[in-house]
Amino acid sequence: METVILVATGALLSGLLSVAAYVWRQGDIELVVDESSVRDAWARITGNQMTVGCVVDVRNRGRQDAFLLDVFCQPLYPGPVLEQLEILCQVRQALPEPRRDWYWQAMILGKRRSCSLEIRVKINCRTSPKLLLTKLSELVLVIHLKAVGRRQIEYSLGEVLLDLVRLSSSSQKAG
Amino acid sequence: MIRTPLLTGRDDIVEVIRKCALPKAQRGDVIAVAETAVAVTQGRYMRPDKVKPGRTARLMARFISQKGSLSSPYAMQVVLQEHGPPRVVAAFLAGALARLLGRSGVFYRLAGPQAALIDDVTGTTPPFDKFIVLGPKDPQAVVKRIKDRSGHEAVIVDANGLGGVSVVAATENVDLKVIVSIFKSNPWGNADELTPIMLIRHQPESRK
Repeated sequence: METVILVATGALLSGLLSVAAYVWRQGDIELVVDESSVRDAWARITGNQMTVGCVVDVRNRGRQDAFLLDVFCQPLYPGPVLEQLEILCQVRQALPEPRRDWYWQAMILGKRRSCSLEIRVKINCRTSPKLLLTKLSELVLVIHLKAVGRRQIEYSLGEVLLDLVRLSSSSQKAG
Repeated sequence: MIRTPLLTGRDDIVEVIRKCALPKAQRGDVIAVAETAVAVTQGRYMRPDKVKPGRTARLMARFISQKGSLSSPYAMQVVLQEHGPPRVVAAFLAGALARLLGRSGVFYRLAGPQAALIDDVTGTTPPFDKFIVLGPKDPQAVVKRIKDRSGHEAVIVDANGLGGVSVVAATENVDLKVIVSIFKSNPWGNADELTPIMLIRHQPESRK
């Protein structure tokens, strides 16, 4: 009888250990905003509106596909100058034919894959954009990612810095 | 292919068919409706954030391939709530055993209809790409209502674009083989085409 109990306990334990090892080995998602990948930054000034944009990569370093549900972008508090501004941040997937309405369509980001995000920020200021640049030389954007993984909904953050002075001067030169 | 407005839980699919499809329908047409559209009009969708997956759902979801909708613990939890844990867990164990013996798909057949019909996030047209969309409730009653109100045969179809077609419900005079062959290529599409209704018309053979 004791032998039977021992064998059954052993089988149960090894079964549980196998499941635990399987789950551990399977891993999960790991999303990161690759802050070093910021590129194609641009700026445009029309009237009292300054529009800036860039492209940044998001990587899934995990071992499972990520269901990237929502991606939001918002400015880090830039100081009291915010009172004079109205900032609209938009983000979409950078594709050959991106969505024209800038709706973030949920997507699957495969394991060890990356995708590019296109960011557009519209800054409406009461004063002229040139005056604004004296108070706000750069803008830090916080990118929020929300994805469904194997275990639960995962959230990640990333930061992108946009040098407004440099961008606006290079856009003037290009113009 | 019939274009409709964006359908939500405030719509009635029979009313949508009356407004959008019937003016274009001819005698003898079969009305085919996408199962997701029917489910959406029944309000059968929820955000994953609103679902609290238990340990059973978390563990079972780990053993489902990520190609399937039940690979996320949230969708698995919804199926557990719909069909009850005893049935779904038993189906899971039977499916695992069958898999060891080389047979796949047993879990989906035994766990209940919602296991096969549920669409996880990213699986449906926006804005429902961010929701878990279940299969329709009482689909046979829906096709009956469509037939009673429109006078046309009706069918609810689940097509996934990978060649998989499942007739969820149909009125008695619908030729299911024809339906399956039509929807193998998923003419509805999986993006935001907003064409969840199709009129299937018998084309008489042309004279030579």
